[in-house]
Amino acid sequence: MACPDELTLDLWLAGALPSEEAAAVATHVRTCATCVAGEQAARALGGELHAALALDADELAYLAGLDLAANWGSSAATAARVWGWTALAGVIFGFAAWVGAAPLLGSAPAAAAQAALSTVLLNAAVVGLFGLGGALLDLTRNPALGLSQPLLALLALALLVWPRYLMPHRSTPA
Amino acid sequence: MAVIELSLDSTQHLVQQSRAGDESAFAELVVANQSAVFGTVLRLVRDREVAAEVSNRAFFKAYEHLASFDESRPLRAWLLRIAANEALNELRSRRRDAANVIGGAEAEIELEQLGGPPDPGELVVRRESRAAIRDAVSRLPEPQRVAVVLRYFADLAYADIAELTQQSVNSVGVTLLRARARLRQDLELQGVATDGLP
Repeated sequence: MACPDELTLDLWLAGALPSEEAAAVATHVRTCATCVAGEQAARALGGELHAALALDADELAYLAGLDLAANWGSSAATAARVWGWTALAGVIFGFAAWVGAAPLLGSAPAAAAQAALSTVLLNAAVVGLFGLGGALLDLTRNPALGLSQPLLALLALALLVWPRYLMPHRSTPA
Repeated sequence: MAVIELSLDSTQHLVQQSRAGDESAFAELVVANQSAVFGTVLRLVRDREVAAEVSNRAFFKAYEHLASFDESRPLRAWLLRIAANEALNELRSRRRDAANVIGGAEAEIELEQLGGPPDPGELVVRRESRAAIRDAVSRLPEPQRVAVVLRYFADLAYADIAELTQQSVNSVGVTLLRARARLRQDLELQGVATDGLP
């Protein structure tokens, strides 16, 4: 086997090559002084970069002062999540009020209630759509996270759309 | 600050307790992983206050999504992926150069002394060399700096970096090769020895 190119050698060192190719490179490197030198230089560089990027004492002292263990739950994310749940509760409450009120009220109060609820729901729909978009972005950008946020947003959206089909259909006068 | 290394059993136990809603158990996981998380974020966003906020956010998200964590994989790598993603989101949303580039020059003496008493002259040269490397890393174009930090600070595998940065493993390799070439060029211009840079 000829000497692997720089990229292949780098991928091999990082354990990122398929096993067969990795075995072939390993066999070659054992018998090639040039590749051994390349391997050693790459490992030396890794060590230098590790050392250069490590947190220094000043940064560690700053980190200790942050007390992340006590404060991890008090970030802006907490407030955002509380607001998200509040919005969802509002949507569910609006849905229940709509379904409950429509059959009981006459046409005028029902129309007024419908207008008011429509305003609230329109606002909630916009918030929900932004939430859905944000959650989908969050999911697509962070493969380490799960599906809970998009599902939550979809649930909110479903609750917004569903009541339209539950309202009694008015017959048009002849 | 001492870095606490938890055993696999302890980590799994704390994860299970955290999943059951025990926030004090999760706080222990935070303590054990905060240097890695904060350091990764700090090297990416280059601003201490922003790094603190992003780290908080990352831990909060991790706590919320513990149910989706695969216990057969290392917790730290999972946390670092979340933290790196939060930091990248921060970079994307801000797109600004932080003025507060960090790095205490005299602080590294403490780390140097771990291996025994070195030659003072050599210590100064090595300290200056590391400061120069760190500065050179901070001057890299963002995609290269992100790859270098994720690889050489966070110790993430190429596959993890590829997933986070939405590119192929080969592209990560190419990005890192270019980053190292640029670092070598930059350091040579400053007269810093680059024996370790192939």
